[in-house]
Amino acid sequence: MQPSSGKNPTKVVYGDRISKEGKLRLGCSAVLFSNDGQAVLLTRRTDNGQWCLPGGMIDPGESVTEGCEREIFEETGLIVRVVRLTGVYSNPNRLTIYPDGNKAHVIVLNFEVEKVGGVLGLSDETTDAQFFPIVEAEKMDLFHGHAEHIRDTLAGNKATLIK
Amino acid sequence: MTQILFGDRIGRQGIIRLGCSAVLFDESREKVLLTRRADNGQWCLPSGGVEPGESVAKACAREAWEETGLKVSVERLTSVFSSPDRLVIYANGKQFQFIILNFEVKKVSGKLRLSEETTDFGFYSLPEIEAMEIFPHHKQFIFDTLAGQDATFIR
Repeated sequence: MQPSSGKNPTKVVYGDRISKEGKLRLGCSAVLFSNDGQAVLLTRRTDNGQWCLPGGMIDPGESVTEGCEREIFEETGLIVRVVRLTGVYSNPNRLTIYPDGNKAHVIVLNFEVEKVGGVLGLSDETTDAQFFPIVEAEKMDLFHGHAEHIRDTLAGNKATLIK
Repeated sequence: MTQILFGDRIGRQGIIRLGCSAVLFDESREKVLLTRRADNGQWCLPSGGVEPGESVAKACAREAWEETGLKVSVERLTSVFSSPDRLVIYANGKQFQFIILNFEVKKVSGKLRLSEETTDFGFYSLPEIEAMEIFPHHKQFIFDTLAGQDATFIR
């Protein structure tokens, strides 16, 4: 499938302490490896066609694990369970600008998750969702920071990275 | 005065706000630094909100500095607290579901002092803390930190 057109993509800009211009928002991303551990689940954004990890914003009324598990289900159709928190990413030199002009300092919790059910399918927010061999994913131009989230998860540290 | 309400999914009535707190042990590693809040007299860990333009580690060190006079470095993330069943209402009426990152920190320099937000401070042992008026999640953070495991508790 081709990404839908006519939608402004979300932009990410970098600069010294530039996130000061935005509102603080808390998001999450998820790394799900295939059963053999050789592939990683990626989704394709509808706004710019870029591949990324599934994830989204934590909503009021849910815990961070519920938020992560909800987003993955909405975006991929898979029912997952959070295994561990691999990293907190809070780079203050990075500002997210949404299509509506709103600006945000997005702080992201990256979780490793495991599949417990569901069928891989599509959603409104993504045009495609599939497993890619890790060696291939490492060469792709993924959404900002997501390659780092995958690398950090592969490193397999028990402690959460604080970035 | 800040109000805290508990109830099934009550966090839905607020917006998400990210906070941080710090557990600092004394040299014996048996006592934890607590401060007493000026607004409600409750004992708590040094803590506060993460602001745009700072990393979470920076926010934690800043809050510790503002509230205790100590320069600290962040050692590890022990816990993430994100109960949707807790709502914080500020004096100005704003409502929040707080998601809190608790860090173990290490003293780098400085001398303990009071701040505008605190009326007392001290290092307290677990039995002493048990008997104090302290936020339940802060008590949990202290237990989590003492557990000494590498993985972060996700609560």
